[in-house]
Amino acid sequence: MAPHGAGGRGNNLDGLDSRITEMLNTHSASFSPAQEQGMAEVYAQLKDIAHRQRLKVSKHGLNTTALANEAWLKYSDRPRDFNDRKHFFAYCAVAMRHILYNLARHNRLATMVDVDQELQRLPVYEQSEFLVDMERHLVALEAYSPRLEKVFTYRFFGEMEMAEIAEVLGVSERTALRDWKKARAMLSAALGG
Amino acid sequence: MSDLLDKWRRIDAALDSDDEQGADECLERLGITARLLDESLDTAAGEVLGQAFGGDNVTAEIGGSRYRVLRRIDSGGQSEVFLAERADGVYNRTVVIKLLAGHYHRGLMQEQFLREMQLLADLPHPGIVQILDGGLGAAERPWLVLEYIDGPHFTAYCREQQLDWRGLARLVRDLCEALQFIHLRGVVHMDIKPGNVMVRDINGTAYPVLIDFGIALQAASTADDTPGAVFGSRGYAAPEQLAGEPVDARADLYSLGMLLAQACLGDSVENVGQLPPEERMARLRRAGVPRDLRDVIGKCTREKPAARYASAAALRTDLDAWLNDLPLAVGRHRPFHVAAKALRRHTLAASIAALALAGTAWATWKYTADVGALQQATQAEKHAGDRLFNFMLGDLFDRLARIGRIDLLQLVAERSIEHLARQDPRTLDDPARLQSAVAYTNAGRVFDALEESTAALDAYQQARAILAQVEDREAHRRALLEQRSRVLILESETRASEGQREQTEAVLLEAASLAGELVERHPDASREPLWEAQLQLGWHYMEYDQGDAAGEHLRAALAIAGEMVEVEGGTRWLLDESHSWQALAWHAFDYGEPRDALTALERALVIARRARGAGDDIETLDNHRILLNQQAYMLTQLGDYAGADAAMVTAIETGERLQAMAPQNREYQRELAYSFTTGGETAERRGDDATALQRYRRGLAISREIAAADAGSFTAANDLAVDLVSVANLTAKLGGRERAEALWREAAALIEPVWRQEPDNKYYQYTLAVAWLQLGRHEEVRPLVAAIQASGMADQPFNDLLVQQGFEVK
Repeated sequence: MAPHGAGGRGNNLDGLDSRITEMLNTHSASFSPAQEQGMAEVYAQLKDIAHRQRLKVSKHGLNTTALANEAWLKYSDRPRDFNDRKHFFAYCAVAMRHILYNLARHNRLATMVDVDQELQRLPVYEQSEFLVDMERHLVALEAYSPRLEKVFTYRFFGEMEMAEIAEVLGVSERTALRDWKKARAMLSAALGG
Repeated sequence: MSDLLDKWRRIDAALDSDDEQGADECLERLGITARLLDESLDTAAGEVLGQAFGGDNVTAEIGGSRYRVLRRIDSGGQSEVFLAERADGVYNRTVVIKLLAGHYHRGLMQEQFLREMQLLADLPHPGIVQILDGGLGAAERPWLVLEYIDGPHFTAYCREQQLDWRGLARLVRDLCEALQFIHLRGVVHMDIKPGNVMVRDINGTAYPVLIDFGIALQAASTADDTPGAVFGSRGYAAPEQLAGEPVDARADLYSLGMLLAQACLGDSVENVGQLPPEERMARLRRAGVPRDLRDVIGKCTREKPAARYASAAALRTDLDAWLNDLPLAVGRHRPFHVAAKALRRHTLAASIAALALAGTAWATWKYTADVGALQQATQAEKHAGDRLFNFMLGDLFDRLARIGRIDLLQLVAERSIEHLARQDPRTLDDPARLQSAVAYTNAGRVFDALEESTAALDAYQQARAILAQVEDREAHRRALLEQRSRVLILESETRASEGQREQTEAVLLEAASLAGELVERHPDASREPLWEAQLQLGWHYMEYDQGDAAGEHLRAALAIAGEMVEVEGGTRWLLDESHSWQALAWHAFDYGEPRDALTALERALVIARRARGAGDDIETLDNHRILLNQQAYMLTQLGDYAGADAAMVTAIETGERLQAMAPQNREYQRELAYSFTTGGETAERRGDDATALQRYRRGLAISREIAAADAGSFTAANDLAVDLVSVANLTAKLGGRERAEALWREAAALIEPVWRQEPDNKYYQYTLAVAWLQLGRHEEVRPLVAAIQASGMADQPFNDLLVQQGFEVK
């Protein structure tokens, strides 16, 4: 087996946090620079909560909404850069997307380095392929329509309610729902074809 | 991409004009075939999600990225379990990472935890999941890296394999080894239950492995401040453990006893440990669990620790004793033997079986040492090399077979199988593979002799599989041919005893073809495998009444042996030639002229005498005796009672000498009893009733001895009953009516329960019918008489008896 550490820094999970921050900083999200700065903190927060919740949740049933909720409760104790729950949730959704993307890239790299058929059939690697593809198409979708990309990210990665998404983006709920359908159909078409 | 962009535009427009439709409808209407994206992240990417928020933490927790988490296997109250693999590229190994629940305080607790863990990590045992790594995580949570056991859980294994009592007892016995191992090191598992035992299945050998030392470790770590905090599992934990009292090794034995009880009862009871003890034992009895095994369970599961076994070793010894007892009940499961050992002068088949056990060298006494010494000697030599070990096992087998103590080798064979199963075939070179195959073959031979056919066939299968790996190596072609034909011939014996007609034939034909190739390519190679394959084919076809095919192979065998006597000479080939004539004699007896049969047997005897030469080798002596028995049988059938009696006189003399040379050999003892009984008959036929009675009584005395040593054996019981009836019949004839009736009653009482267990066995029917007829129990005997007449077992003496008792003779 080839050493998985061969890819250098990029394979090291310990460096994930800083890279996420970096990536989020370059992401054209509608957050203030201060909020973006706090992204790494949110990520750490999510991880910490998930860690504590882990023994309570069964199998893979990790509930991202519950994660964000708990993170928010913790945040709301000491007012920071987020003035409301909805914006914080949106923020978490973006964080989630990048956490997963980064991990998926790492996983995929591992399977490329290590041509182990057995390994590539594992769901975790199939899903990693999926997430990497998804990210590529999300970037394209953003070029096509930034709002579609945001609606999708908030809904899919943050599991936010339509009403909350509409409010964050300043559109009607009906528009948000239509955008979600569009984005879902478009990404389905992209991933399926 | 522009194609995709076009699709996106169409989707965009379609939903703009009608936003009531769903995303899937939209795709369908536009004729875009695509699987609709999952709405939930958990469905679409749950594994990665788990990895991010679980796996990542595992890695962080255990400090470093030496292991890569593949997936979560389990999570519950006690711990979280992940499947992972070494990720540092040192070697390819799948492991299990376990995060234990609970927090440990630094300092003393931590030290203790690490010490216990280190203890287990330092002392690998095949029956204990190996701890590869471990420590305390960032949050003081203990974590362990364990070897990955690729096998089913205990319950699943028992169910899949449909294990019988012996299979279950064997698994539990193996568990005792692991338990004794940890107990000696001061660790109590405290949570023995089916869920914590997995069955490792390496190269077809099943071995139970104790997993989950979570409680043991916790107990060790918390003993100082929270005694009694560890309760174990309901139904399995010992009473003192539930009460929070101090526990020792005997608590594990309680749990192990429950595990065995639960396994015996299977799904019929949900949790056998929660039944009242009487109810539990009653259910075990009703389920048909043998009494001894129930006693073992009872002793494990006593309320008071002092009433249980003192140690896992003591329990193991008992289980071993139970397991070893059964194989001593020779012939019980082999129809061939049942037929052979049963009524009257059925010495033929028994003799053939005895011959099959015979090997090469001379008689010796020094190997009658006890199992322990043997084991030690063997263990020490094992390290001197596979070759030496294989030679020893083979040699010991031959020697022990002569004195009837193959049971001494059982442990050695089982150990060697365990040892072999731990070998990684990929690390072996070709000579080592060949030796592995030899070792499997030797072990198989031991199992076969102990009538553990399944284990024997498994071992032979392993040997064949390993040989297949060197099949294409020209350099080892000769060794391969020799070894493969040997395995096949041995395998055919086991299959024949299991009554597997087609497989036996196929295996023998392959053996003959390989042995033929061997001598063709290597003129200096031994012709013995070829001879043996031909001879066995001959016997096989005779057994299934294919006289022509049998004759052909037997003549081929004789030709080989005869030629080799000329070319090479030596005792071995003389014996082989004698065996060939002997087989041909039976062929003539069944398919040709009886006089030819006697002539052939004469030749066998003459050659056997030559083989005996000056010295009295135990094997040649036994061979000679068997031939005499058979000669007497044939002569009796041909009405030459004087000749038969003369042969029997010599057979009895020879038998007594053999008995003195190998007092432990049950087979010889039995054979001598048959000789006496047959000799009694021949004397009776000659009209010498005094000699006849004397011989019958000698036979009866030996049969009593065998039956006493072999309680529970149907065959031994029937042999004894037959001798009782013989003595009784003659005693009655000589006027001792009262004495005779006591003997008939004894015979009937002995054989009736046996017959009730196997009501269709014609030999048991015959014995019981004679006893009942003599006792005048006409009503009871009627259906038996009908059955005997239908099966053709009714011979002249039987019909005489019927007439005497006023029955109608067909």
